Amino acid sequence: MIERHQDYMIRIPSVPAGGITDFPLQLDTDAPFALRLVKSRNIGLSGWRFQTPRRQYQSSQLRTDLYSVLNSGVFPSRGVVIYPQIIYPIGSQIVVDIGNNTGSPILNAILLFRGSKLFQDGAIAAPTYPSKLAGLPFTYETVVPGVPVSGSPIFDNQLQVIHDADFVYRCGLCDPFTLVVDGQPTSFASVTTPQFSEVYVQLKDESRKFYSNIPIHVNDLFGQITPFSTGAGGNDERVDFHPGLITPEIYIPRDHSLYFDVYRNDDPTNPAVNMPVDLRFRFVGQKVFQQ
Amino acid sequence: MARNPASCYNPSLTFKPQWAYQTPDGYRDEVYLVPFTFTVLANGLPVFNLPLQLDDDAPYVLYAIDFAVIGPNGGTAGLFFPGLARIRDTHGNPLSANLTNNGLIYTLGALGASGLQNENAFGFVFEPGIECAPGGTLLFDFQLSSSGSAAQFLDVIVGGSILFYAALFGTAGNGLSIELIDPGAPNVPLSVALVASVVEVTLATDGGSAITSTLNDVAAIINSTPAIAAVMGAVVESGGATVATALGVTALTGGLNGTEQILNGTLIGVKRWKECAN
Repeated sequence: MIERHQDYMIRIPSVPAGGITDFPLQLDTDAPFALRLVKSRNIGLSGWRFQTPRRQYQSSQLRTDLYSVLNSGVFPSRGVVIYPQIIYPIGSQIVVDIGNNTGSPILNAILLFRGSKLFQDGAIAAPTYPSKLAGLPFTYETVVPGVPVSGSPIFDNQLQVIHDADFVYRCGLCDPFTLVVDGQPTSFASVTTPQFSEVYVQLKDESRKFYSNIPIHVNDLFGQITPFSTGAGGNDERVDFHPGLITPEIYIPRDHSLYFDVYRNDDPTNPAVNMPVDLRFRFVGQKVFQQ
Repeated sequence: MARNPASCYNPSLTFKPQWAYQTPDGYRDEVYLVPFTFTVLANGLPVFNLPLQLDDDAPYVLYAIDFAVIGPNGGTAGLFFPGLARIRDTHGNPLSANLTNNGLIYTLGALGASGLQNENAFGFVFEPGIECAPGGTLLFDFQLSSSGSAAQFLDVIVGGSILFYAALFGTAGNGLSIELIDPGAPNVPLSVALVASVVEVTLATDGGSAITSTLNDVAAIINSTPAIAAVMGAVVESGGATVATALGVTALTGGLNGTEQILNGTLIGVKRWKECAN
């Protein structure tokens, strides 16, 4: 059995007051899907639930993936773990209900289903560890400079693994950062703190086969390092220690690459997010030296 | 080594279970912390090969680094680690790569930072640990963003604000001024000119001599005119659609170069002692 990391995401432009039921997410036809984690975005405490492959609800009521900390407020989590895993057959559907007790439409409601595609041995290229190895913790960084507020996606950004060792990608981080140098041109980042909101990323392997059905919000896929001690349940509040875990890990042989597309669609009239950002993606994992 | 089956994940806990590695047979691990301090000029330029030598009595296995506080006086200096960095182990292996920036990466790829307001502590684990030779030296490279400031002026009017800043960061940008001119005449187009060290923006008017240029228009003409953008930039901070108002000649102030930052950190790991054979 070969496991290949896979995310499926549904995005519903508007969930009416009262919620929706029986909304289908169509799965790919190349492999079954083992579901292991679910994360919501913009849904908040209104809650969600989904059906198993037997069309039975996985929970008796709508549930939430937010959590509260005493005296600190409500925080977004990295999602709720689905254990034991639920395996959806090839080409099947995940059917979801999304609540809405806010009294007005929920815009851009998102549910992210994380897990693995399950392939038969030999069905796809699946490089993995040599029989004897030495490991070294390692982090690759790829900078995507000047991501505009909106417009065309930036395709095929490259994480190129250098020639001395294979690399195992286990978690990722993404933050905006621009280096400021005395006496050099002052950038927008020197006088403001550029931020973003609607940035989505789609990972793909060297043959450009995607690891998700559509682009995933960057903070769901990568996580950010700048936490904050209090929260109110917002999607992107800075919470304690939330790197974006990639499970199962992605193994990249030396001299090979991982690619990713970056999409941004922020509101140009919102001063908080209406500037370009230099996005620094860090791919954290381990070098694997063959011995 | 399999993960402890008793470990579980609870997102409300600060401390998460980590992978565990057994001490090799014939050895005994003892926790050992190594505090260290570096002083680095935060001017945006790289500083290479700051050494941290380890004890020579036993190999050291490095599992994590914590940077407790970074700031001009060892105190706090905002919420973010201000730059790029790289570590090389005692065998010279870099622990990060960025193919376009000397290999230095943002925050060393840190996995977590302090959640306390006004603390910029951050730290990260090495998974698996890094075996360091007895008496070996870890090398740190840093490239900290300038802790100085750009000369600037924030023009706040009813309904909006616009920030004018010098195009050169630090003291090099001092000495500029901005002026927004109400022409007081009908149907004047928006224009900009550099007169000595003053950027003069003549605001557009309609047929009744009323100003029609918005803050967005002012920022756009400054940023899109090469001769002006070479000395000054503008960012609308709020109310971009608000009509601009006249502003007399006003100096941009506060351009400062960066100063030294004190980086306090701690290595977290174990000394690996060889058991006596008896």
